[in-house]
Amino acid sequence: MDGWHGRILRINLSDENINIEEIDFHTAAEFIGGRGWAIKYLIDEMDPSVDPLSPDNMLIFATGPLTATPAPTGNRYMVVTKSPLTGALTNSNSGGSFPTEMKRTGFDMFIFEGRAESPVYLWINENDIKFRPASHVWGKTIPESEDTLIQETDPKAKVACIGPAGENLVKVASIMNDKHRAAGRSGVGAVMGSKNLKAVVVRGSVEPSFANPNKMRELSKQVNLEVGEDIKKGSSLREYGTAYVPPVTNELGILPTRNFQAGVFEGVDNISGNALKEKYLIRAKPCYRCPIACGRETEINEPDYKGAGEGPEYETIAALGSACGVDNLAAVTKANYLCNELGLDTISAGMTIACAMELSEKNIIPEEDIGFQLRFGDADAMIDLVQAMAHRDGFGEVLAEGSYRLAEKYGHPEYAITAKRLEFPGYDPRGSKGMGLLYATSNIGASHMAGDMAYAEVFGVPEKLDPLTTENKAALTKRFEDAFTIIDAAGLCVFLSVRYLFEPEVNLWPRKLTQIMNYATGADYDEESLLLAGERIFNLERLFLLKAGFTKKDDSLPLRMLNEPLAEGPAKGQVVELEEMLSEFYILRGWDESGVPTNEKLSELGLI
Amino acid sequence: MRVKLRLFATYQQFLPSNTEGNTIEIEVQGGTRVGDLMSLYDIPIGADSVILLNGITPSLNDHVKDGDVVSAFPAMAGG
Repeated sequence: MDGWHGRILRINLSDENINIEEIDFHTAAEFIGGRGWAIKYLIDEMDPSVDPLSPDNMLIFATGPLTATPAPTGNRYMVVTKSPLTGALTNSNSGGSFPTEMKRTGFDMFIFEGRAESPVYLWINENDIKFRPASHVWGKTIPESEDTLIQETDPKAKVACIGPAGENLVKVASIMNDKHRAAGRSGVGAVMGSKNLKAVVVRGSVEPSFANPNKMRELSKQVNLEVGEDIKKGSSLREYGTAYVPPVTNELGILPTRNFQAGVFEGVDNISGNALKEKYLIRAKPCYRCPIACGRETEINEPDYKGAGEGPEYETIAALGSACGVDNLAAVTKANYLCNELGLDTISAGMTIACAMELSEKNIIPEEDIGFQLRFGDADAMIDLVQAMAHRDGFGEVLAEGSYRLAEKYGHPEYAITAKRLEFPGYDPRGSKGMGLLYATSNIGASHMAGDMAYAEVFGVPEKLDPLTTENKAALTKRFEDAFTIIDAAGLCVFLSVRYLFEPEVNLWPRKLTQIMNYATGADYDEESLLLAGERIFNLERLFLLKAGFTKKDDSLPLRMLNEPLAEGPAKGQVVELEEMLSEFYILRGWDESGVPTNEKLSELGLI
Repeated sequence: MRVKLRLFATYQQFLPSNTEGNTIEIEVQGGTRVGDLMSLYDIPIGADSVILLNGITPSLNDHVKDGDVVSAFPAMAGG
């Protein structure tokens, strides 16, 4: 095959059985790769009602046909599994260098099943696959573990591993790769920990072949040049990282503040990209072969918050900063380093602490449960609770379960700002209604990466929409969801792909993306069949959700979003009018009034 | 009347070079439109820019009034 290797590595951790399987061309093309292949295997092989932390859950690492290719940002993979936080499907995306190296092992996808008897790591050096004891790194941080494992394997090996949080089955634990890149959401780290799998170490030189190598290189080069030209004119992502965003969302009145009690944060200038650049930035850092370089290599020398690493990203600043009422950038950055070292999702960690802060201020959580008076704005408490969460220490035991179970435990689940129990990211949907629809309909719960309507409503990509209206949002949300599905499945990064591989003027028409996919794989997509493939994957994920027991009532938002208008800012007085957008969305998706894909739709997609 | 001009991300380069932070307060005449402010500071308009008036998308022909905040940033997504 071209683009794809067409080879899947299946590993059973219970009996150490290794199987190398092939995938047929038709299935490969129908489901694109990455996120698409993974859901196909999950739904075909696994009972969606399994306990996510049991040996029966499948943990899948999946690259796409464009991973490890010259395609611009061809460097991503997805972790796909059933989430212990939400009980839904999850797919969690990451870049860096690991995904490229993983693809170079000669396998597109790894499937991990069962549970090892004691901590192990996998050393996958092309066709040489070994189970190795990991007790000596169990309990160690991400950077320590990575250094040790690289020393034991190969200086050029790349590592994806869990930290103490994943080992402790913290429901918001991440899988980190290249030390600072996160497959963050929905507790994928806990699934890996439940399998006693500490790390996956990869090394390889098997480059994918291409159906049309010349055109592949030519188009890739052309797009990279175009990106390079734009960057020369000025790139906010290169100069400030995603940290340029807090003042923007604040200006629109949608920066999550004090557990979404407000959308305007008085301390925003202290936690912006400007402040990060002035105080802690060492240099911009790209993922492998990316021309943008939005990553931040940073260092703090202030003794109270001393540390070094990468980040913080926008989401981290929103969750550990404004959502917690914290405007101390050193503290937010330090908390970010801790999350990366311990293997915690910065979004869910921050938003869970924010929830605890509100419950505490309202005297819903008694002080003795926490051990001190927890208040918004207490930066040091925020840092302490991040550590407690990773180690399930004291009140950290409760926080480790995520904000929904925290709030539910104290009788007030309405204060957990989640959809399907996944904590909201950094956009208050009362001031960005399309995001509200997205959060409610994403197959993994509230994730901006399921189809970021903020691109249009906040950032003006493809064009600036009025964020406060509900008209026509359903159609664009569906298109964004399908587009992001394709990008995820192909192995690319959304930052570059949406702007340069889709035609913005024609409602996100995947013209160049289709070309690149065909030059790589020879699969003969046209734009419509590629979009249909995205829809196919999205619907299969939806079927998984339904089989796992989710219904229309889970396509919902917290009461705060539906009933509590924002009190100030440009979105003052606004709530999310979800019902009207949702009905329209179901119709456009070809689902019935209960949100179930009709037989007609499933037949159109070739799923029945 | 006095209005604020607030620029984000790389558009901060269009602020006067001695500006601290991302906001300046300026004195403008009655009848000044959003588009006039953009021209005054050479800020790009069109599909590559997002321009806001008090956080809401205006027409470039909208008049500004005393106390308004006009902001702008490049149309680039990420975060």
